[in-house]
Amino acid sequence: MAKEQNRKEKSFSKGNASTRKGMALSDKKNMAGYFFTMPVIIGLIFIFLPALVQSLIYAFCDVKIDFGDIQTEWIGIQNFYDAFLSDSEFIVLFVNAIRGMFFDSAVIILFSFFMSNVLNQKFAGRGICRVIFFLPVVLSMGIVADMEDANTMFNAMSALDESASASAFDQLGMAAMFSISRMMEVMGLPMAMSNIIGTVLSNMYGILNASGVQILIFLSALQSISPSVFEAAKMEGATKWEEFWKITFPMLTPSLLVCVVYTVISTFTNPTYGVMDYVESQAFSSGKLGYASAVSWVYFVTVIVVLGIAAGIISKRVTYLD
Amino acid sequence: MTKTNTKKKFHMKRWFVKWFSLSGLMSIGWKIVRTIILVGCCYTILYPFLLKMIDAFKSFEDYLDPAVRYIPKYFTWNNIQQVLIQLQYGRSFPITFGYSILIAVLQVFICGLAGYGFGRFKFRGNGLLFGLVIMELLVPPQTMMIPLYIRFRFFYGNLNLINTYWPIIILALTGLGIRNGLYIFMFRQTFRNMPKELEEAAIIDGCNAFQTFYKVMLPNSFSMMVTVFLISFAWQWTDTTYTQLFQRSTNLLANMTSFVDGGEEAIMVLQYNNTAAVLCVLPVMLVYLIGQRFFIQGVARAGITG
Repeated sequence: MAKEQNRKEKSFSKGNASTRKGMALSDKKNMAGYFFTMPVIIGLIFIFLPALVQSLIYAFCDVKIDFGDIQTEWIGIQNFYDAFLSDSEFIVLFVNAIRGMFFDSAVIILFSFFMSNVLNQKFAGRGICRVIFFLPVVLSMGIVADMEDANTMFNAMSALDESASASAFDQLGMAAMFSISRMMEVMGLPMAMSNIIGTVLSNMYGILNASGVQILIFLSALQSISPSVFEAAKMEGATKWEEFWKITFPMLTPSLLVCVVYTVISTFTNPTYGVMDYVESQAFSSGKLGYASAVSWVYFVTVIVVLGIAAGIISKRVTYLD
Repeated sequence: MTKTNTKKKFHMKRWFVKWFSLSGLMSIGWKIVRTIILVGCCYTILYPFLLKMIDAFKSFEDYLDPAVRYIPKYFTWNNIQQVLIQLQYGRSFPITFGYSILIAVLQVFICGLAGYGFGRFKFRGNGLLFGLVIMELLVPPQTMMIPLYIRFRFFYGNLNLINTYWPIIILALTGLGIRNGLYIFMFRQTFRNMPKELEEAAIIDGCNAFQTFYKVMLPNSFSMMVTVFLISFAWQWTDTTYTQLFQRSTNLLANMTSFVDGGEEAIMVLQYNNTAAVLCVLPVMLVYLIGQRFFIQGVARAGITG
């Protein structure tokens, strides 16, 4: 009796194994992933990749739009040749943008890292401070950025127009900045350092506006560290300093990677460098669509290279908890 | 008696330690420095916006007069009235509002789905596809501008979608809208951090994959959804890159601001532009202030780590 039952069970399990059609249950479950990502896959295949390839092709072509008809003519690397060797404006903008990008990204990341640690501490009015610090995330794009550009442009123009009576506030601002650099020089700091500090202080508004998302990312990472880790460290007799370097910092490295990627991208596309505006003006005002796409590809490839190097360096030091 | 005395002594000692020991002094010093930094930063963020709000109420003479800064001498509603007329606010406000909400809802839904798919299922090509999503974030919009423009100008044959509301809707439906890669990324991290038991319980109770997502995972990621909704709503509302590329002649506020004209004086144009921007951004700011509770909760819960 018992034997029979045993055999039955065996045959049952055998039968089950043989009817399984090549796919494990977990694989079947994972197939649902395609269903969830379907819209994005469709978008990538039918809109994103064709557009990307198209813009790469345009970079090697002379593109003209005549009465709603696109005419492309293959001219090889002529566009790139023009960009680097005969267009003096682009090269200047490009080099300036890369230099500014390194400086700005470093400052923004350091600042947002520091600020997120401050905003993570307990103090009165923390909620209000967070609301204000995240305000630029919501507001600093698009219209507001355009308006800021228009204002700076106007101020610069009026300063050129009437340099004699150049608006009193600007002069005051210049004087204040000068005195900060001067003060630091008197204190014995090297010229380069006082210059850097002066630049950072006078660009505080831009830095604050640009670091909203980064503070958000760092802060959420800080909040996700479980307090029990700190308790354990305290029991072992760690000081605050050690806690920071041995727990907080390693736990933040994954989001540091994210932040570096995001910051480099957003500073690269920052309109203040003028490269993006230059691309737009070449494409839509001068009608040189092929040239504009070549220039933007040069820019884009540079971003990828810079990001690749930065991410490579950082990801070696990233520590994951699991 | 002795008890109170020791208590007092202890209190004195604590007070002494707090104020005169090195670590106590340092912590107090840090508190002061922290307050200065925070107040300074908050001031730097708020000041330009407040100044622009005040500028909107200034008459032209006040605007030119450098002595008038915070309190206008001749208070006027004229600028705002003029700009409201020029923006066609009565028409463009409801259109922008409805459109931004539509786009934000679509983006939350699509990016939520995709984030769940990427975060919870190990299907073949997951890594590659997610890499492409990140790439989507990397490519500057200007690189994509021209092909996308041509794409929507000749949409499947000869359908001209430029200057209609469709291009951005199509981009939102396929997860290609403004910085949608970031939203997908945020959702992916949220769903990844959720306990596995939640999903297993739902499957045991007889939910299929979509029901699990709809009935269990989405409600649990509510604050993340509100966060993404707020960001997406605000970025759509204030976006000038895509709206001005695809729908120059529609009544969206982001378009209308670029048409504001102040007359002959250049500085007048500047004042009108600033007023227009303030009027345009004000509703977004109100929505943010209403939703910020969820926003900050969402931040606290998300744990966006790479």
